[in-house]
Amino acid sequence: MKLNGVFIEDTFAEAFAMKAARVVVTARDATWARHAGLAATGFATSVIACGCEAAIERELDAGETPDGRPGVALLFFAVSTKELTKQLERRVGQCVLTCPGTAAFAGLAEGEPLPLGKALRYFGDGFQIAKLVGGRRYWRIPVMDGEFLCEETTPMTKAVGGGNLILVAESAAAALEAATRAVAALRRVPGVIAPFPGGVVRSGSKVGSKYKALPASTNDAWCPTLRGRPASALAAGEDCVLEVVIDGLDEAAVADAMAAGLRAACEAAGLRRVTAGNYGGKLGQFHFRLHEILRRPPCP
Amino acid sequence: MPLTLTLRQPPPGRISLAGILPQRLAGLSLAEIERLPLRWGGQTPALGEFFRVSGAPGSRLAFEGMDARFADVARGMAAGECDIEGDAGDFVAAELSGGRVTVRGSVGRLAASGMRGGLLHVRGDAGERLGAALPWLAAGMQGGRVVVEGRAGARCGERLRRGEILVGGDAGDFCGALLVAGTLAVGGRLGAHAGYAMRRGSLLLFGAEPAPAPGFVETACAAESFLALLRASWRKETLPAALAARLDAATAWRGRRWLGDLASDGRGEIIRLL
Repeated sequence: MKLNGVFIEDTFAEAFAMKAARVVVTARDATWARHAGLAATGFATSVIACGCEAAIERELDAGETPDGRPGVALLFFAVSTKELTKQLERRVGQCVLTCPGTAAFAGLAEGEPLPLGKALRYFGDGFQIAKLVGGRRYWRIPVMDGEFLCEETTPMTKAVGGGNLILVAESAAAALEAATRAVAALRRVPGVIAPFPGGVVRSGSKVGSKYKALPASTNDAWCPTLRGRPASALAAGEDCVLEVVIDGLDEAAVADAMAAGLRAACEAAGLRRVTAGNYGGKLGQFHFRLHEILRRPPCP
Repeated sequence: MPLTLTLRQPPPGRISLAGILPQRLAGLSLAEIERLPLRWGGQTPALGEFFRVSGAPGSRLAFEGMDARFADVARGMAAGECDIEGDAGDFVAAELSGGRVTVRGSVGRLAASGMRGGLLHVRGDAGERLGAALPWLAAGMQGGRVVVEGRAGARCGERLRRGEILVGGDAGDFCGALLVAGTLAVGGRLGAHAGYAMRRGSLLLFGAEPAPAPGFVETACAAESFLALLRASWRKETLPAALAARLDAATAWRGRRWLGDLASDGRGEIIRLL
């Protein structure tokens, strides 16, 4: 099928079950909330080597946060409860607790509780105090600019990681334009992140490598500088490929985000076709068929 | 119409209404309720001697024309609603674990003592040791909320362990003494020795400037997030009118803060909101 003249392959993105948590970080103003959010979600593009995938889901107005201050909603995805617990403790401990004026809150309504303030409170060296407000427990930890307030736990939920779109274009500029449009559109869908830089990844990977130590290596079939080799998936005139990877709190969120991204990408000039990454359907339990997700109504 | 106990005659002395609870009466007929024995010294007069019983037993129980000589009203209640028109004696809502108790009058000593959940709302004043522990117990109130529109007597919140006590008017001497944790808010003036030997917990003052005991030191007040959470939480809850007015008086609460009692654990705080 074609959309705006762009060929949409009849294939699917293969995604995996993950564990996710949302943390709301507030600060005295939006700038400092953003500083904390960017630091806490830094170096979190892929679970392959970062421990988790994370990003700022969206910025929050003062009226949307528990303590009435500007904030950011952060989403963290990991492959196991244990890893997510470790990543949350390290990232909130090193990047939010350290950031002037911040406070951290649970961002999901329900789910298995993971320690947040419960683990970080020990930084208070015995001077920390717990408060129960409205049935929720918080820790107040003395720090040099006053106190760091942190909710005791944050719920964890089952999630979906690895939704993706592979954008094949006639030039690097065209591919980047399509990817940029896709990311801008999918970020308006609640409950999803695109964890790579700017939401876009150029180094799509295949499983395994000729080097035994590497679990993944370059996806040579989609490298334009290897076009023409027998295993290449690219045709003449397809000079650049970029991928958008999407993690979401549930299957519907990922599908909505993929659909939004796909529609937006196809408005870019120079985009030749859109495909998706999969492993034959044997590894991931979630399959997002490109033709099917386009039948979804646009997310408001 | 809820089950209603209307006073026939004033009691001859202090009579306990322990066990007269909505959940216990729900399965009884009106005649059976009238025959329930009360405790008065060594005697067991029937409830019907003092109250006319009407309405339908269920989750709600109302007392009309109450007298301060009736003690233990709603003591140990776990669910339902209890409305008291008039004054009630000692131990009102003591050991309450759920439900809502409303007193359209004043209450005596040790109201909400040992409370673990639910709400006690007193439209009048409260006597000594509101939410406090009995002398031989380590902790007083351990959960729930107490709202007093008027004044509270001495030793309000003594050894409070968890939960909230909100007093719209003045509080007597030793308010928040030996506080273990929890939150105690006072809209009016405080008596002497507020927060004496408090270990943890928060004593929030909306009225006059306190004179904290020597074991308290003034610190920076950097509790914006905590106070904002409290404010947001209280907006959804029953509050004394005097404190409800303060919710809208400013866009954010700021104040002076004292840490103490350093002679005890020293992690408690007195915050006077400006």
